[in-house]
Amino acid sequence: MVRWHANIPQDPDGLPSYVEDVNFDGIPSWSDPTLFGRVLKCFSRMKTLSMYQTNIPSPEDLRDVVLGRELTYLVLARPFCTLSTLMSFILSLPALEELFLDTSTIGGPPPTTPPDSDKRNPLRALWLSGVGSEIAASISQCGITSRKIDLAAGDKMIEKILVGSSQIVTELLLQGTWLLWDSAD
Amino acid sequence: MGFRRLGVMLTNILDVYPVPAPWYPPSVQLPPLPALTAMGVTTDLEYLSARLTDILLCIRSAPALSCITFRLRTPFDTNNFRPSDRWISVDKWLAQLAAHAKAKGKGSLVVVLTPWPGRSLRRGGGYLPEFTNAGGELTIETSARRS
Repeated sequence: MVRWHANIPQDPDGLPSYVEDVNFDGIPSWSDPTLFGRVLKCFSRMKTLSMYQTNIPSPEDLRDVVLGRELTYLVLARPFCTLSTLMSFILSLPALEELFLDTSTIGGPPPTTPPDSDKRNPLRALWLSGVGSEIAASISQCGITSRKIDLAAGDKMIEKILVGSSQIVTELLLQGTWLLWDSAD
Repeated sequence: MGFRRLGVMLTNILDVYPVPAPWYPPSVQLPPLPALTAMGVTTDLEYLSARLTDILLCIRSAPALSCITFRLRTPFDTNNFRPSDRWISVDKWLAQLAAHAKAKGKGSLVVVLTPWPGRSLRRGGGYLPEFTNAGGELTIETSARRS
């Protein structure tokens, strides 16, 4: 077993600052909610962040973390968090270009509409898999649009996402074999 | 005599269980999609979900759309293809898009049918008759594309 230790405070330009792809897998909760933010802080040149079944701490626990100046690609598969935390996390990434979101239901109140939701730059690509109605509604409400949309989700609110991106969408992919079912089937 | 009785019986059955009209009005009318140039649809040749059919039929105006690729999970025997009502609806929807493209003087709308890996499609299988009659260009790939 190899243990790797990085002394971030004394070596801010060390090895972690060269890491571009970061994965978190199977972390349903953090023993210290600020740990996630402190870990991410190390990866100042991170371009890709993938989180599988991992907890996203609340915005309060991430308030001192400047996230994703270069982060362009985000994968969130079955995240553990509330709906407003999920949306707040996505919206906190100013350079985000590609978003993959795979989750069916998520609890908590809906997020408030950000004041600049209509000024947000469109994504290059948006993949949605298994997304439930509350998440689809929040994506639409928060002004998240995309030029390429890949849908593997059957909820009725999906059309809202298409409406939001109607003027800019150039490529539309519908994964009808797996997930575009409804109760009528 | 026997055939006549069978015909009467079938007529009676169809009166009781009428064949549904092969058209499903979409649940939502999407606004025009002026920038949309390409679509990809992954589905089962024999079984299109109601939801997928609904989303497709919601798209009524896509003036820049030039190509739609259907990646189909096909049965192993496509010699006896019998389109479902939903497939017929999609055929009519494609025919509308093709006719619109033709009326606007743009090139033909191209539909590509391609099977899943390990499956095949038969050329000339009568998959989209309305679409081809409306001037759409149908390309059938008999075996799966290499990705």
